Amino acid sequence: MAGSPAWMIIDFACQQVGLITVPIHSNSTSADFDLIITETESSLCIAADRSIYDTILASVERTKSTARTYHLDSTHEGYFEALKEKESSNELEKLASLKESISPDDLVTILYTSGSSGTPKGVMLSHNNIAFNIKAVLMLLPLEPHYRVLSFLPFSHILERMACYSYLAFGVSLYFNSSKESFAEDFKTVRPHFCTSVPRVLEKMYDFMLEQMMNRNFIQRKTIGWALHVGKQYGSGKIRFVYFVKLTLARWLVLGLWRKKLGGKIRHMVVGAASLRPEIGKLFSAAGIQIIEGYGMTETAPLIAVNRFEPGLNMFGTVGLIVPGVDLKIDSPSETGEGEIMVKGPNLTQGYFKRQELNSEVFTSEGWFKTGDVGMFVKGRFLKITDRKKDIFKTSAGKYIAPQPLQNHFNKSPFIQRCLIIGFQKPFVTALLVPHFEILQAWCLQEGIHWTSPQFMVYNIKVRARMQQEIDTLNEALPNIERIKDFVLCHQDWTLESGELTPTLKPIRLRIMDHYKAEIEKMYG
Amino acid sequence: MQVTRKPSDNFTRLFDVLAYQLAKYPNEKALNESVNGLWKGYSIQEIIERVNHLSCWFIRNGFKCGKNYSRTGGR
Repeated sequence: MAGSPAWMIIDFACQQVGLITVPIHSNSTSADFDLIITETESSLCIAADRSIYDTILASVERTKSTARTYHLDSTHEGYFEALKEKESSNELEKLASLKESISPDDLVTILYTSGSSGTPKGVMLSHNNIAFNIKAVLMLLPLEPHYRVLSFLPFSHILERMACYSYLAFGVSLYFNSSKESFAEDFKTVRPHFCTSVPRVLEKMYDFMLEQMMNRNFIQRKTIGWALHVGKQYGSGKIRFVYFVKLTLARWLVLGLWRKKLGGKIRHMVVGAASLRPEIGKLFSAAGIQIIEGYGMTETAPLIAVNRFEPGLNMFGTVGLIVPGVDLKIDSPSETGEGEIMVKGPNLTQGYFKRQELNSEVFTSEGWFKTGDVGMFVKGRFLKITDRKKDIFKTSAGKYIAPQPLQNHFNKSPFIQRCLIIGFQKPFVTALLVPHFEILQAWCLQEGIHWTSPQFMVYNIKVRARMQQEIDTLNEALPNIERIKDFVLCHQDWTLESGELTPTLKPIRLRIMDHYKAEIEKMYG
Repeated sequence: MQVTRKPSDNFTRLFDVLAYQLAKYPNEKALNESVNGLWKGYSIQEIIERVNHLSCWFIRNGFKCGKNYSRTGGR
């Protein structure tokens, strides 16, 4: 769920008396709930709604926890009435004294993250860890008091949580999106100047543009296609006159509509939590919404590096410059300068809660934190992320494959919504593909192919041939070892609800591969 | 766009941000949520008061420093 004033009030109220907050993502499994409630010995649980409340009650019972449990639905029993309480002067004095005793280095929150591995672990963050990031952001973002910001990412994730604290420090007006259904309408009514996003949300907006294109007449399709082509050529540097003319026309005809759909005021957006395809960043920037990508982790509260909005301080395809005050080094760089990213700084976690063995694995004796990400510097100062170290696999021929850049490459096809590259200890690379069904359906209509439903169409010979054509075209740009030799078409998208995506909409590789185990085995049969 | 804001060291703990905004950029619509299709705003002063009310409730009900509490999201 996105944040809300209630969540922020609860959050700050806990902080003031030294209570440590432990956010739990609403799509967590029962096992995750049990683990977190038990491990943290929670004394109070608050759920956003009755459905989650029932889940927590069940967990509290299973784990024999003594946690008091409430929810935020004021129309039902169990509502957290404390939100409506008035204090007495006695307690205000006690409160003042308690607040005074809270140190910046005190633990303020434990954030459970499983990332794409699947096993939750609690990241301990202090006030100072997060405050350091807020102060860094105050230097970097072009926000002014009374600007409007729309928040729609989960408050349980450190990116949006840190962003919301930052927005308060900026003095902007923070509006919380309340549902997926009202997402588009909220942009129109709030008319935000800024927001934080994850790549998947921008990809969905881009996919929507492609769907619109498929439903137009020939001339309109060509016009939109041309405008998108111009947009994808947008660069970080100085714009040449000829391109400026094309860009102006493309904005007037097509790209300007994007900004309009987002309320018409938005000029800047920061994207993080997953890899952003450079062409998506370029397209939005060409549309007049400057997109910059950043990089971080829960363990670094979260910022490690971020592109800047100023000319010359951003580069598509990278995650930008290191945040001032953070130390970063590339461990054991290869000939190309790639290696594991290690960080140190005031934003770095104190460690994983009650996981001493894990702490000793990820921290060196000098205090460097092993991020598990592989990266390198481009032009001496822009950090470029290659992939998660553990996701980089070796084929049975001994060749290393970094799946993320390949997935980004194949996702360029308008027919492919998602791609998961497979090949660990296998003789060749294959993929699980989620087709872009709306675009596929429009194509079928054009070709006179009868459309039934995704469940059946993924087995249609002509559909499969069309997807093969897309793969063949994109394969041409790759060395043989990286080319997709076979693929499975998934009849439904991977979702948060199914446990196949993280709260920031990143695919959880192991879970997805487990769900499609039989199909994968057949490809290598 | 030029970033002209100067670095600030006026807050060291997260809840200090509330007083920081009240002092520097008091906002009558600091936090806003949709209620029955209309946006309802809360001023920073109102937010601070409600935060203090709830902190006092925690004190009154014996929730002490160092104890953890869980919360979840969900629509």
